[in-house]
Amino acid sequence: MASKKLRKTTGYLLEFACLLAALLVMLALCLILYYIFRRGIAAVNIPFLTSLPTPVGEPGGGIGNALIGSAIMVGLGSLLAIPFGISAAIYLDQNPKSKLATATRFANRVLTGVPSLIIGLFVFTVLVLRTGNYSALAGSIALAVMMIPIITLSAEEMLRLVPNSLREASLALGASKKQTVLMLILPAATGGLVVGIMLAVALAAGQTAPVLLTALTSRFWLENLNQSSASLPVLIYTYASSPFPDWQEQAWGAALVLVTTILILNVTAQLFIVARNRRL
Amino acid sequence: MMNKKTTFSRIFTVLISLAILVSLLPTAVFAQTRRPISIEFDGRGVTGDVSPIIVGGRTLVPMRIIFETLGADLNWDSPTRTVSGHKAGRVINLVIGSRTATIDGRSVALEQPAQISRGRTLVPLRFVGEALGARVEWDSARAIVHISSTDASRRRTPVDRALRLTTGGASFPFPLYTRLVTEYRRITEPAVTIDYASVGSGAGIRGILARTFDFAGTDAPLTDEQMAQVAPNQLLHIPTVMGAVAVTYNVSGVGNGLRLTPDVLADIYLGVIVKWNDTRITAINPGVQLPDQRITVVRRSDSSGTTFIFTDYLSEVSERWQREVGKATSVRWPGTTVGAHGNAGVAAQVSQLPGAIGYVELSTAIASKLNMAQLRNRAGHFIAPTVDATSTAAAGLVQEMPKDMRTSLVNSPGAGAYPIVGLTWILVYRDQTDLAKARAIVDFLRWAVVERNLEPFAADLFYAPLPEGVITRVRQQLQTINHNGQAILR
Amino acid sequence: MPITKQPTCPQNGEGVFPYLTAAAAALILLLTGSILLVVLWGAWPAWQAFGPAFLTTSIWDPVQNLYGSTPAVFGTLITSLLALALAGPLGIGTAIFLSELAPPWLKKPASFTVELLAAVPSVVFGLWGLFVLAPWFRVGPGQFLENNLGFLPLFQGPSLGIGVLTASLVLAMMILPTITAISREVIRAVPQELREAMFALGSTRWEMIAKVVLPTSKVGITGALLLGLGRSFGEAIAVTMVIGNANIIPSSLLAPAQTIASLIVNEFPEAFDLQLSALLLLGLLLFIITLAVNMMAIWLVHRTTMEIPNSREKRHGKKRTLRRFFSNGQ
Repeated sequence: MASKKLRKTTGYLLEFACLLAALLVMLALCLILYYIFRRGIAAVNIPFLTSLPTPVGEPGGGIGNALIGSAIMVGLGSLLAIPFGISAAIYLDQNPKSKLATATRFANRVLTGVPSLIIGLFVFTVLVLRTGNYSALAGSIALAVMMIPIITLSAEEMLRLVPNSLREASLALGASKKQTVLMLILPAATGGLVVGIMLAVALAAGQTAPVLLTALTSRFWLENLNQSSASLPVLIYTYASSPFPDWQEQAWGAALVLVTTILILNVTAQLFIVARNRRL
Repeated sequence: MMNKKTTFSRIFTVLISLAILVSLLPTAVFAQTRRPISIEFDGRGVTGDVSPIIVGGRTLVPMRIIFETLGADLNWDSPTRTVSGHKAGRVINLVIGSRTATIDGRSVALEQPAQISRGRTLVPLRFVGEALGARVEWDSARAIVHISSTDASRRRTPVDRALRLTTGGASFPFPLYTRLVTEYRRITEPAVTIDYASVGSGAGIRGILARTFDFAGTDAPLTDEQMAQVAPNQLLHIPTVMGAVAVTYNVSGVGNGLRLTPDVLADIYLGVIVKWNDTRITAINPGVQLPDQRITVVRRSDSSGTTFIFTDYLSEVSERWQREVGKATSVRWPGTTVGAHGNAGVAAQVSQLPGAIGYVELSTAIASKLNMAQLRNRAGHFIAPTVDATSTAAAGLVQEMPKDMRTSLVNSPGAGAYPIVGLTWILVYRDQTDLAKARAIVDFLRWAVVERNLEPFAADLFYAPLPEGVITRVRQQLQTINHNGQAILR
Repeated sequence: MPITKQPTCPQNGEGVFPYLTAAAAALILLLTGSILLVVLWGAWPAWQAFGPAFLTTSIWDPVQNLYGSTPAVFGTLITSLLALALAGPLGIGTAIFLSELAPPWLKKPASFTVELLAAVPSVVFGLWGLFVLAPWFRVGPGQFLENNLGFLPLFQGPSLGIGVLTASLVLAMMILPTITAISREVIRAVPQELREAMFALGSTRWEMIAKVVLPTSKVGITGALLLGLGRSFGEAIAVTMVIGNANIIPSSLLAPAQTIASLIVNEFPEAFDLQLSALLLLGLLLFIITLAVNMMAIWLVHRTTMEIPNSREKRHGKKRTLRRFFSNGQ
């Protein structure tokens, strides 16, 4: 009985350690979010979100073009990376031991550690240098390359967690492998997949170097995808390292907008999952 | 009597001949005997080699001054003796000696014709000014002609269709260029949009060599090896503005204006002087209470033009620095140093770390309210970094400027010159492949540098304008830019 | 037994689907390969110039065009591993708390906050590190370490606020969201039946976590840690702002250092010819380090998984799991 008590106490202690860890993490995260909020809130208003940047010393000026540029590049990047990453993860999940799977898994893990600047440089070399111009399209592709390993890696983990019993049951009922994957496995793993995708989107949305090397930046509206384009992280980077107080304030405002947008996206995705689960 | 008579007749003769002479003299002599007339354009003095003159109540000015001030293209057709100016789609023609001029083919009567005086063509100021859309006013008391630009006179039409240029490079002039390109876009019709990305001089050079940039900005001139990558004289260095690099510090109890000599500064960065109360520092700062505090050397971690200018200076003044470290956009720093990212990063570290010393651009030092050191210049004076002291530095070096404008301005000899000063350039190809882009680039550079439209913006941001002599050289450089052998600027 | 080996079910309606997924997988391989090629191509001149000496020398001098990688490699390993040592236990602890212990009303908002952090651009982390963390660290923990543990070379002063430890702290914060979010999902996916079975056997909640949840999700958590480590290897801007960027092997955790990624991002904007090539060679080195660390991790996981049956195999035998998914999937 004493040992039971000891086991219980140990358990509580370790659970308490987890609670402490969570509190510490939350505290650290809230600190930085609070800092962004405090420094950024003064700059944010409707004209800030909808107008073009102004030069130093000219009042007003916003992040409209950077917001649109980021939305288009992250959106297009996601459109490329999500189906790509999930398909690859399905392959890895379906053929876990094949040579291609082993090689791909390795390649993918290596890709997660490649500095984003190198990825930017790669897209710059194969795309921008070839065509001779910086473009939002090249930016999207660079972001897609950033997102693919994260989506693939997390999706593979999530698919692995779908119990085999589910697969077997489906196959036993006469469904094809394709039907099993599309109708059962993917839906069962949706929650986890969305978490991975949101991580990837969030990470891509905050990237500076790969975007700067491929889409460059612009202080004007994006007119077509073959043009250089502004983006929030590049704007934040440029403004934050400038000596001018109005630009620095706008940098924090832009950071706040970026974080809030991701929050809204995340909440929407979660609500969507909840609604879908209820419908089922 | 005879004497008297002859005296009288002499006086009479002189008077008569004087009267005749006076009546025959060109009015120019009168004008020159009076107060010289000066011209101001938007409040700034405009100078030329020939002064304006008044003929029949009308001011005539050298044609080059007025056309260039107002940003018009100028053509001289010698067989027909016709001056023609083009601007924003408008064409003005004046024939020497003719009382009729044309604006867009429409005839207009002139009260005074254009004329040639002492080898210079003079044109009626008010007519030309107003035809080009400016407002012209005459201040008779002070003999000043005020020309003020209007929206119409500011408007330029370098190209027929809206155009977008992709450019980038040095981050040092980026704030200024954002203002310039915004203003330039506002006044061009159809709009010329110039996107300048602040990506660093090296990236700018790579961009212009790979032709991903239409022009590039750089704080460090191309090295001979880099120049060898393109055909000779193919890449032009067009200087735009100058800037000072301030030495800032955070020493408890010491305010602005600590004095430093070149050798002390070099030895601090070499790690030889490690305490603020070192005798070599106290010796040049009598009356300043320097604490027994460790010096923390802060420098840029990212490679930058600011580092280039600073190490260029140290190499110039310290043989040991030149031998052991050298000059570059990033170097192998001796001793223990703190590398901070960007001017803002250095400023942050200097203000945070007690005992820190760091170099930043003047505008950053002022914006961050950091203490700035006075440096002893070549003439032996201690000079604080200011815009004026920067201009003085350049003035002392105009004569030595090489033909290709790749030069260094550090350690200038002028008495009031601040010693750590650098130029920033725009790199542009001499032989252009796209006519529309070439026109836009040349017109932009001419508008900004030659017509000095960047100066009011530069002053706001603590950049120093180029001296007159350099601007003349820039004009000559721009004249060499061509498309298929055809010069863009006439 | 892997599902692919089951020939009993009809293969109708497969179409191009398996080929598509295989193509996607192959494309990742191709992508990584071509990135590697581009980097190799760019790095070649530097390799030709320095050869293996690049890996063993410590001088980085753009003026003399002499480049050696040891300080950057050392800095990368030390900061990233320290960051992982900090963020790993914290992240997994948080994930356990969020999935097993937290009251339901807290789970969602807390998870949101954590994931939100992934979206904060590096430069913002860097600025926060520079303006908030570093000044606090200099007079707080840094000063404390210098005063009390300064006799150890590891904590020798002066405490500048920026340096190896501050960079590791910032990196730890940056990889926390990745580690926490993926670990939490992995833990959450452990079938309820397994937990119930442990409780039925009289285990405490912690024993259930330690004996069932963690072993079952080990592979996934390792994946999360590796993803975090990969991100910290590649992180540049934020590190650059707080590490002090000294191209020397740091003598103390409080001293300035340099990482591969921060050196690349610092010098890339102005780099030319051989310097540019040397930077790419550094990038290549980072490739190899990431690869080596991943191989080691996978080997470790495999070795320990031998003892405890693979999670999928384990669930495979449970009939209850099947019933749960038919009843629950409704």
